[in-house]
Amino acid sequence: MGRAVRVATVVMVVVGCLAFDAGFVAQRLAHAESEVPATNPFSGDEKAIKEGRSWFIAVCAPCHGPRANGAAERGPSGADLRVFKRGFEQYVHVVKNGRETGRIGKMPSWGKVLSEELIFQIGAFLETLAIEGAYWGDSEDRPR
Amino acid sequence: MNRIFTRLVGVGMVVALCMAGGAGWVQAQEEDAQAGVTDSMLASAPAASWLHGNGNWAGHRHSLLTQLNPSNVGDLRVAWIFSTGGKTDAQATPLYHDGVVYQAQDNTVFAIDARSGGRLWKYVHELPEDWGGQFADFFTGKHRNLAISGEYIYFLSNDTKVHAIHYKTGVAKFVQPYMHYPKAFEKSDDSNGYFGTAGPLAIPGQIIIPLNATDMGGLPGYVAGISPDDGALLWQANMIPGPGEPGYESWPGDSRDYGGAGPWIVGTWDPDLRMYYTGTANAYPFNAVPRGNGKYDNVGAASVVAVNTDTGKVPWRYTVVPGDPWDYDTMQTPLIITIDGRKTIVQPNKTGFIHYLDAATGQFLRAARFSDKINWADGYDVEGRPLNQIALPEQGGDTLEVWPSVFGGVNMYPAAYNPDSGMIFLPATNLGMMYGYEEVKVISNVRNLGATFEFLFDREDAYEVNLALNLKSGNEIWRDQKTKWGFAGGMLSTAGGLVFYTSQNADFQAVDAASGEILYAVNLGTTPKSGPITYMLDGKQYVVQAVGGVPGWGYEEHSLEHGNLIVGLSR
Ligand code: HEC
Repeated sequence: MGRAVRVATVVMVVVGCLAFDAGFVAQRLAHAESEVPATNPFSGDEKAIKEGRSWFIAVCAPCHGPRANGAAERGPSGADLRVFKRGFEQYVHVVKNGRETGRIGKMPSWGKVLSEELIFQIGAFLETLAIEGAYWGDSEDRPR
Repeated sequence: MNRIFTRLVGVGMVVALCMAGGAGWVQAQEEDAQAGVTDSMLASAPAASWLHGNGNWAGHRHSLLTQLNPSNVGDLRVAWIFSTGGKTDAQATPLYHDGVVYQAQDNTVFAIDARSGGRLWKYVHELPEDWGGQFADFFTGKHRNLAISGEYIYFLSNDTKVHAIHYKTGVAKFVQPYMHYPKAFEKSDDSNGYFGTAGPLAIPGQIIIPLNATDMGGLPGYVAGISPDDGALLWQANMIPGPGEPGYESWPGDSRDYGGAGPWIVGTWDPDLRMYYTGTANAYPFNAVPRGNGKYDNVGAASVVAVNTDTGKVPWRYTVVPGDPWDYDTMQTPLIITIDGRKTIVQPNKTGFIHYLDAATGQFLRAARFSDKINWADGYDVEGRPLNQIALPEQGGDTLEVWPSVFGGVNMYPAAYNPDSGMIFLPATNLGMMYGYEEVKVISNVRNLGATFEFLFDREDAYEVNLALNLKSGNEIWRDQKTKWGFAGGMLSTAGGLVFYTSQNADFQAVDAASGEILYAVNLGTTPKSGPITYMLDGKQYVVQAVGGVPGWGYEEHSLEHGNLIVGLSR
């Protein structure tokens, strides 16, 4: 019995790794298609950060809160962006495509209404709010 | 602080002692089962039935029923529970007629057996596929009340269609659209549009509907009168004054075209003056810079507006917050109350004050403070303008500490008024915010709020407080102050000398109206966003409370989860 469980666990881990790798390949393809840079070209650029902050307050803060901590009047979002840790490319992906949550509030898709440059600038602002555990580097190299 | 004498009674627990009512107890007459709701029934104060979300045309939420009273309300117990399966706030106050409770939730209308809680029928409306726009998730599925007239339930769906649904069969005789609805950003170049979250009001020969677009981009708000027979539009009144009307000049440039001012709570009606009264939304955008930066009054927004229901003309508008710099919607249902022989509009609102206006002329009479902490202004002068308003924030500059916050001293959750005792009951809160202006951005032709706000939850003076005031003097008679910030769902007053309401913490309470003593409490398990009703059936008085909403508005850790229930209680 104990042995069977152990074997099953090993199999699950192997299958899990395969699934993970497949995801990884898909991610690389998406990367190639959209040509989103691996890291934010506006990181640390003060002008971009200012612009990004202004847009963040305008379109994102009603759900994510002015401090991006997930506390907002038009919530509940639950997404604390100060601890965003999927890396830059995944940031761009979720902002462009949105995400269903199964809860009342979902993350809308902004790809058709916000330029890539603006999404990068908002990202550059969000990076400045990062707290421990956050990661804004290359999504492929992120610590797992 | 009141002495808390709480008897927590668990759901399902049987209370053995059933005391018969004492002297002075008036047997309420149950209505004969009859075809539909007549005009004279609509004109009556609620007793056996509850035919208007706010109880009567004057918005009092005061029932004539006396079977439940301070001596026996402790014997209440849960009689039935119905789940709507709703995914968002249950903001509608149910209706009751002829053995059936009616409720709107998530673009669905439910008819519920008022004895058993069983579902009799449900009417489902699908929103269009391209429905969306700014804050669509926030508004979708919310409905503040239904109306009933003749044999039909009138329902305003989120996409501003009125559905006339037969009260017995659940089948619609007409579905009539009024305004264009907001479309998803990805699917439209113009996502401005009207969204129906406020309910209709039934008056003789008309159904009155509020049409609001404020926070979806600021198209001007309207009140419209329609025919109950086929939905034909009879008249439509703009909340923002047009050319030739007083206040037209109070909107610089094209700001009036996106100035908001939508009515978003069902109003009240006076059969003698033939006027409908509504509070209106904030001026849009929140950022006052494009609207004159406080130097223009923006009449019609953050206002109380009277509409003549014979002509659709607006006899008066009183602007509660001129130039509305603070997102101070004045949306609460304006109560119609005769004070010292004068028909008076009484409106508690976000400002932290109750405003008293002459119902015929809109003349400002006085403003009585009810919030514990107010810093945006010192009060009101004799003309009804704010005194010593603080300086507005600078666009892109620092934020300011402002009390009350944009949640207001009271919000949409309804007050109740007992005409016998002259007491008004308010579901109030104390909360401040840090408030600032940012440049307004435009997406899909939708101007965004252009403002930023953060709430001061952690302050020790942030708390829910349910207030009983003497209406005439404005003096406090008692308070039920909680430890956490939030709003009770809304108030119900009865001639039995009781007030019923459910705290943000989910405690449904029956309170002695005179003393504030809590005589009965049961935790309903989730946050309320609407007020209770009461009705008489088989000789028994029932109280019904719909609960369901986002606990704490989604802020902070909260021990409650979201869920939508309608709970019937009786002895
Ligand atoms: C209508 C509300 C809403 C708005 C407006 C909104 N978001 Fe979101 N966002 C959400 C929700 C809800 C989630 C959480 C999704 C989940 O739980 O998986 C989310 C998630 C995210 C995430 C993923 C967080 C993570 O850890 O994976 C990012 C990044 C994000 N949002 C960025 C933005 C940006 C940038 C904007 C403005 C352009 C924005 N959001 C506007 C609701 C919103």
